[in-house]
Amino acid sequence: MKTIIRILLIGAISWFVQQYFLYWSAAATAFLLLVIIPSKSSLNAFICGFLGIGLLWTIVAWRIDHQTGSVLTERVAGMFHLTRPVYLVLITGLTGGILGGFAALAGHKFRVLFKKKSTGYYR
Amino acid sequence: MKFFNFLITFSVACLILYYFGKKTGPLPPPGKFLDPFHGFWQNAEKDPINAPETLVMQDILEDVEIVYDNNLIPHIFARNEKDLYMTMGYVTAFHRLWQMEFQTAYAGGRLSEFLGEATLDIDRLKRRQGLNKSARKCLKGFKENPEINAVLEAYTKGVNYYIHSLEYRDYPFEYKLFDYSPETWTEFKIALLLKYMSAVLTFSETDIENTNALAKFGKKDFDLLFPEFLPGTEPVIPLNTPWDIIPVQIPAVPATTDSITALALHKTDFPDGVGSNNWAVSGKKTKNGYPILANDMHLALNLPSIWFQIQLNAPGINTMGYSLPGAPAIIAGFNDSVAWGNTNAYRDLVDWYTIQFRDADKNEYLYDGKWLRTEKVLEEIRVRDQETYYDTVTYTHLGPVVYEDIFGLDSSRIDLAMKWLGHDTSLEPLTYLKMHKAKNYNDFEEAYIYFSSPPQNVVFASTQGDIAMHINGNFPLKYPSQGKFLLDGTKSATDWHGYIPKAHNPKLHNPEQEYVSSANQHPVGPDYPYYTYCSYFEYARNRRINEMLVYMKAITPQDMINMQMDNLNVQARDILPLMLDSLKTRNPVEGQNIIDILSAWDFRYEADYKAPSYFEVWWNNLTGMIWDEFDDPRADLPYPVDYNTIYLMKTQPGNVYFDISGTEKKETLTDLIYASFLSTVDNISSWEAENGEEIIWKKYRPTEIHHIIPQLRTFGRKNLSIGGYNRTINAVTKTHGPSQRLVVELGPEVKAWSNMAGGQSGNPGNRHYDFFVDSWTKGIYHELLFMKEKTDNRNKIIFHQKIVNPDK
Repeated sequence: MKTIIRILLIGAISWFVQQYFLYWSAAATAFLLLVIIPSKSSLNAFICGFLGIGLLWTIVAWRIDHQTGSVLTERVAGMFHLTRPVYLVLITGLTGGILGGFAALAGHKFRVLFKKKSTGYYR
Repeated sequence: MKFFNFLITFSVACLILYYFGKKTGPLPPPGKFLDPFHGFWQNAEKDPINAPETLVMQDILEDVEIVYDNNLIPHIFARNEKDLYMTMGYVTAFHRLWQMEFQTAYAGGRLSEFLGEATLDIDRLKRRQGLNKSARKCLKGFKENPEINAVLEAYTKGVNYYIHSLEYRDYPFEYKLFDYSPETWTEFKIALLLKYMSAVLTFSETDIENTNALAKFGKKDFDLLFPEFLPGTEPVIPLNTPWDIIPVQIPAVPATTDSITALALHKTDFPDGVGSNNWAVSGKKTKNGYPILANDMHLALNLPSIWFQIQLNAPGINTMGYSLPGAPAIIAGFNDSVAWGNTNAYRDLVDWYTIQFRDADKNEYLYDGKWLRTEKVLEEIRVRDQETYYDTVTYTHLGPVVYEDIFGLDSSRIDLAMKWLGHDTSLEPLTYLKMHKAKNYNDFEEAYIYFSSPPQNVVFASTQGDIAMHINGNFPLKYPSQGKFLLDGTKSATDWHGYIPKAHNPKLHNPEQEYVSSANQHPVGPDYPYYTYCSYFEYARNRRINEMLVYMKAITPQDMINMQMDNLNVQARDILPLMLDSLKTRNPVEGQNIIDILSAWDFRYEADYKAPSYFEVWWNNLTGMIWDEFDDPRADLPYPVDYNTIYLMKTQPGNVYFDISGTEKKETLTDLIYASFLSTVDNISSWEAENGEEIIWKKYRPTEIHHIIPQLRTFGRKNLSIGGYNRTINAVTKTHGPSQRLVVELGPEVKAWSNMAGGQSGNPGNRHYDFFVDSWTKGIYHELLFMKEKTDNRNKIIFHQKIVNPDK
């Protein structure tokens, strides 16, 4: 559940931030969110970042492709020898995912730096 | 350990961030480009136009309104000319910014700055041709003319208003793909664009090839192979039109002109297909009694389209037509009173002079027995991701030394200076500014006084009932055969001797035949007192136009449209019967179906016909055999024009050129026709076997409209179903053709119909990028919405935009 919330948060905040800043702001969002909100494991952190940004980019790209009747996507997809515009949507999502995943992972590792040794009494 | 872990992951994340923002090889930066919030996705458009409804511009004097019709043609309504041209700059940049910058970067030899090393040789050639230098000189002249200066400044401001409003998200698609940014627009770039168009239309010469041919074949055969004027030629100004001219002194032919015999490898590769048609008929020949003007300009077929349609309206101006993105001018169009259109007026406007340098330093060169100083210009060519390339261009009084040991040509090592009409200063913008407002024939005449390059056959018609054809521009005053071959640059006698007085340029005004026409053919007959040679004259389209116009009566605009789409090749009609008759004497066993189809053919190059493919294959085989002497690995040679080949076939069938050199047998023309037919049968069956389909014309001659960067294959349009070829009025080749077609009826209300091989938008993510292409192939025109008031035809208006001054 917490994982899903993290994914949604990353996606939502990133959506907002990216209205103003370029692609790097997606990475910054994933990084900072994992610094602020703890994650159980490195893998979990990566997945949160990957899906948070990856899904966001997929949805936004798909929506544009759909609304514009693939007018541009078909040409760009052809340029990369992709047979269907939807592959371009997926590659976009994957690119966002990689960007977000590694940023979130770095954020997680950063948080771990300052985490107090677990004594067993906390929590 | 924890810190080490962090460092590793953080570095990985940073590396990803870095590489996602960096262009690698031909690939755009993945993160930046694919980012759906800012990357290329943002260039995909749902609606034809996405723009703010109100714009605030500091420099605007009074409110301006822009209305877009359903063809995405902007109609600008301003209250003064400054605002009008500023808005024109803004609107053009809004749709075509990347193209505007790219074309001028090409002309100025700056492509490598954005595209990398691959374009370095193109850049070097452009720098060496001196386009930058002449554009700078030209701009100085523009700035000294208050009327031009005001308009260039306003237009530039408008373009820059748009550029400065851009964020990465709004950049035109190609900037994102090649990962660079728009730079500030300048008036210099407008001058550069005009030089670019001059270059596109005047580099039509074969001086070096001619010199090679002269060396190989000798003077007598050269004149036989490349005659300057042949029987049956129909010049722009009809034969026997009297010349009311007292010619100025023609320069003397120098005593020795035959010193240059170099066989050099070099090809200018001027594309066949750059040409155009225009004509006008008087009201006496039309159904409605009003003159009709038609113009289609043939250029490389590209997307974004080379043309941008626009209407300009301000007090004293109401004009509409085709503008070139980057110039504040309607190149072909009309206003409330007159219409005008162009075809290229070919003439030999580039000459090559051999230069004799004193030594390898090239600081001095020989001229009339004296050593003159050269001027060296260091050209700095920035290359993306690489070191800047420096090229030195040496200038003589004749022009830049384009080819020398460090560039082009080959081991034959001759230094060639280029003398070009476009190196001069001129005031072309003034012509168009005056045409926008022209009211009658006199205004037309006056406007073109300022026009120098590229020379054009300008067709004119007015609501007063005038029609005219003027050959406008500057033409060098030459002695006979001057510049046909390489010239000796060491003697002043071979210099250009000024220009033919403009008043002596050929023209036709309200002729008795009630029509005027041009299609890049000879300007005049041999009785014109000045020398008018060029190696690129047209012999077919002009004759087809004339034979149609002469008999047509009660002409409607639709008749003119049909004529622009006409696919009949008169040269095929001239020669095919002879070829078939000759073939019959040999009774070929194979290919009877080909003979049958060709015998029944109406000489039309319709998209779905097989006959034009048969004929073209046969004709290529035949001319290849006739002119086998031209297949010479040592040097590029010019090729005799088809019209002359046909002329020789008909009048001198026993000519030695009809023998295949290198065979013992003495071939006759009939032998060649038979042999070429046999290869044709083979060629056709192997073509059909290879392609798995019938050899219909549109498949054999596939027409493709390329993106300006042809490597972007999916950004062009291919498999177009359209007829025509370079010798038909509808002159569609694989890559060239009528980039636009315009028909204007000059009645009390001027009406116009248009058709364009592209669309209004320069954005491949907009439906209007190639909006007209399908109707262009079918010959379906749209009537232009020529508005009197900004409130006209509201039902056809799709978008309103207002520009206001913030202080008012």
